[in-house]
Amino acid sequence: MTVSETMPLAVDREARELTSRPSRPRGKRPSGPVTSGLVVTRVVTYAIMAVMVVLTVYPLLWMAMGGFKNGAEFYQNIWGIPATLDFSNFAYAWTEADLGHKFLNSILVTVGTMALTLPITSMAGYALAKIRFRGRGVAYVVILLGIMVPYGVIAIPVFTVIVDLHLLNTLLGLILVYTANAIPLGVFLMYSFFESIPDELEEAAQVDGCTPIGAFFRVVLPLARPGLATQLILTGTTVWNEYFMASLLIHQESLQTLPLGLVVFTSRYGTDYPQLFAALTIVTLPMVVLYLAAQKQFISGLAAGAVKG
Amino acid sequence: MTISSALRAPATRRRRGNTLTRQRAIAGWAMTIPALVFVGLFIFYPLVRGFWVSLHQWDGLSVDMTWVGLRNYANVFNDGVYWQALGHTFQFAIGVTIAKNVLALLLAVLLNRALRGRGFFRVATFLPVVMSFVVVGILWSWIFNPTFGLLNEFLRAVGLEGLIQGWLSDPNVALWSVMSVDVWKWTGFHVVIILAGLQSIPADIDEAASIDGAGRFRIFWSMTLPLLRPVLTFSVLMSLVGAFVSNYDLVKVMTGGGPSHATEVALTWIVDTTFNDLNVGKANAMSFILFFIVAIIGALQVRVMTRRNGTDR
Amino acid sequence: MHRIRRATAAIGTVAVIAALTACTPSDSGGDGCTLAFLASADRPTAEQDAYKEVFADFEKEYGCHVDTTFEGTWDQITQQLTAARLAGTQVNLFITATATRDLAKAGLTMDLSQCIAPFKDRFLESAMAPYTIADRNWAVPMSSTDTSAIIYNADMFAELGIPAPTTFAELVEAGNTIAKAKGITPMIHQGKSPWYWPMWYMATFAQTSGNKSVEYTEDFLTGDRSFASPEEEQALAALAAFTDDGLLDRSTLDTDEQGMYAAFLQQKAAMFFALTPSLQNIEAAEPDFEIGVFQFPKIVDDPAVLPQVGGGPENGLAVASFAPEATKEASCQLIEFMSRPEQAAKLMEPTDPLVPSITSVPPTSTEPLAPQLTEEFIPNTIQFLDWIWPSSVNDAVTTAITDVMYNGTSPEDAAQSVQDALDKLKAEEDYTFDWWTTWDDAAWQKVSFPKDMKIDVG
Repeated sequence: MTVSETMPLAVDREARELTSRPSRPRGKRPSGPVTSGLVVTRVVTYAIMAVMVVLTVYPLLWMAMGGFKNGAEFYQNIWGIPATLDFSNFAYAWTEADLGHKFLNSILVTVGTMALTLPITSMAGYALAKIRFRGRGVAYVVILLGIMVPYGVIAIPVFTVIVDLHLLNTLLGLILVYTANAIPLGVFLMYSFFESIPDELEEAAQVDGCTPIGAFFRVVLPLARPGLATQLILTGTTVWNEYFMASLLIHQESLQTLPLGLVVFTSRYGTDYPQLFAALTIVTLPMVVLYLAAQKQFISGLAAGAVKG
Repeated sequence: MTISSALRAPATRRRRGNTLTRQRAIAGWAMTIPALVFVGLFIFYPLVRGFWVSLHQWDGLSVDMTWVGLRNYANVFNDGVYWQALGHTFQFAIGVTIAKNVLALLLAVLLNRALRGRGFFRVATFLPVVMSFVVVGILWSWIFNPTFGLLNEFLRAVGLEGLIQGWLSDPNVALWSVMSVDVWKWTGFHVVIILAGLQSIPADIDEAASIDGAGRFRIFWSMTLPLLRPVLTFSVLMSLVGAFVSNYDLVKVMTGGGPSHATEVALTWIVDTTFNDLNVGKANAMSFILFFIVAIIGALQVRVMTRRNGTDR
Repeated sequence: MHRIRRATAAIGTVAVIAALTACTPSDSGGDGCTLAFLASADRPTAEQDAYKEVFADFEKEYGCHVDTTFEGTWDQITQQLTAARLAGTQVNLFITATATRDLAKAGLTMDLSQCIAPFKDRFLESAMAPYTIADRNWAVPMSSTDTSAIIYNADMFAELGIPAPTTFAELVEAGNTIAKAKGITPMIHQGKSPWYWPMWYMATFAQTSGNKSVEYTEDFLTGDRSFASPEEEQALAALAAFTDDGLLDRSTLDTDEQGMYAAFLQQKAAMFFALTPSLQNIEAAEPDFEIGVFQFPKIVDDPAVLPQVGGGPENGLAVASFAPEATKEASCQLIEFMSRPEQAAKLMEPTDPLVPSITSVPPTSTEPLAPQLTEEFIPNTIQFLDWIWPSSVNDAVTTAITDVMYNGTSPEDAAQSVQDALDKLKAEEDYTFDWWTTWDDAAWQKVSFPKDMKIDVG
């Protein structure tokens, strides 16, 4: 096998090992009087792990369980398991908030944002990290400064820009705003990942006959996959759950995203928590699924990527 | 010779002189400009407009604004709550960064020794990241609730009633409670990062050192940590940056900035001033001041990071 | 293979972009017979459908179509309105909650006095008060009218032999009995939310001012009266007594609305002071004990002073001043139409209104305590003071209240801090309470209906 083929494979193999099977230290394990200490450490470790898992999984379950309770039960039995598996709140939430339509809009907006953000940040991250051109430092700093500006603060001027572009009340307008807000952090991420990829990798690929573009796509970009996966999870969740900018830029019920639809369960004088929780469970499920699907990528890539300085 | 490697060639290897520089410039700028356009149009241009508004008195509703020059900035300097809020913002950002990374480091070290369940653990502890802040806020507000909250119930059950505080009502405690929720949300993310770093360090190093007689802690401190430095830097930077931006939603839902502004952060106060006080000019002035302070710190950080990476090559 | 994929991708992209940029043609409103209605979306769809039904009837009778938009939360109406104005979107009628004063000051909402003059008696007068500024009407109440009451566990009171208290001394006694017998805190309040503290001050100040609280507040805001006056200070001192005498404890500051309900439902507290919608929320949770209400206790000895509390309508119907001129007459007609007995009944029915703000709508509330509330509480209901004073003063009042109740601040210092807040506001932002005195004819012109307008009263 040629160098270009073995290099990525070697990295992949290591990554696969790290994610699927528990790794064993490559040397010999120390034995003897250390063993009992080892047992204690292991017990403590598992105990702590168990606690952390409960702390992080229970909230998700709690939210789902809340959807199964009715009003009275919700207040009397806040933390416990619901008495019955009553799906009526979920069905009602779906129709009352017209979640089906809003799902579609949210998916369009999230996919659209990622479709713009990932290429733009990859290109910029690569250029700033790998291509030595004049002014790249300044460009990088300018983009990073964008992170310091939280969008709630520039809401009204952004609104005016969208109006001037005649994109008010369109999903495209919302996508553009989300993309712009995701770019600074995204460029930072991609820059970090590209930085840690040694130049020799690309050159080695060339030596074996890959075209320059082929080298970029088949060797460099895959190694930056963790950066892409990270962006997917972080930006994806942010956009999926975002309410404020959406409420400012979307003024038509048929274009509303999921967070805008959840408002129907709140009111000035009281929130219907069981119904809201049922709706939130439906809304959160795709994110959990997306995360579970992407986490392998994300974790395997991290092992190979950001690690090396 | 590939395009990109040619573009990366140090200047001294120029054979065609200016053409190469121009090639690099074209490629570099072409790939960077989309990002710059977006950031310019939707972040910096609005920021500049915001600055223009900050020189006026405007309620956000009226058709006209009244010019007041720098009066809003003077008012901001006189606004005790704003500086309090700024302090809280920094306390929040620095506090959660330290907590997240120390906790994540400890957990990663422990995990590294675990044989089973590591994958499941990683997946589980990461879940809070995908949950919406609405649920997280409600959940934790109720966990901290004095009457039926899980936390106080737990403390009573194990006989540690003396530790019960006004988690969200005591001005001295409230901000720490909110910070702990942010730590809960993000620690799993940092564990993944640091664990990956730990696992790429071959165990032979540990063994060689212990043969030489070094204690476990010494090994960790003098050998493992330095090797982890790039990972830790990345992790710290990510948490610092995220903390500045992510505190708004959490504070808003959990405490709304109370009690008596004890958990007020810069963002909640700015939004409050815009939409409740209807003082858009002053709020924009606040944003600008915040932006400058954070930008200076941020730029310094970036300099440190790029310089370090530059010399490491 | 590559080419086909690329082509599909291109077509797909174009299709997606087309879908994304699709939008309804903007209503330019040149036609006098398309109106636009804007309200918040945080209401059940049954309520939204009721509006659409009434608008359909309007179209049948007058041939004018009404486009409805339900979006955002009740407190976002000012943003939605501004967004509509900046974008050139047509808005005729909209629902305002607490923002009427700000909108009127900014010239965004029409003066409805002339419009509703022929049918003004349809509206409950006490419900009109919050929307009446400078002797003009800026919105009409189109919903249930709320009041405030102390909601209590009637079964527990009966069990312990306590009658419903009418004076503060009786309340303290009741509290002591409960605390001793049950070991619980007698009263609970959603102290975590700053929005619900001022109503306590409204209740005490209404009494210490001899039922002149609204008048005194307006004088304070115009600068004719200091907040650091005896009546205000007494009102704050009376609040401190609630914590000093063991009725409310520190856990209140940690408790949000749900916490308050939960504590009450689990019988860990026997009473709470809240707006009447809370009563409906509690009953929806099916408590296993009997519930009662009593008025805020008397804290002054004078029998002529009434135990007034804050209250007001939930929804106010208003007309945007930037609606196209040609549509303004039709907008007024729509208000008249919506306030007709049969139509108003249709609008209010899904909300199970406690006290309808349209007098012709019969009380249909399923709330068992509705008659008592209507008879005893509504007459003692005055407008919310926090709808009158500006937000930063509200902030100061809230802080003053919690400071005297929980942090040992003296009422004099607390009152002074509120006065300081107003002074600072005036110095820093040129705040004027009576903005209407600074308006010229042109400004009034913008918010007035055409003088020759003819409205059909059905």
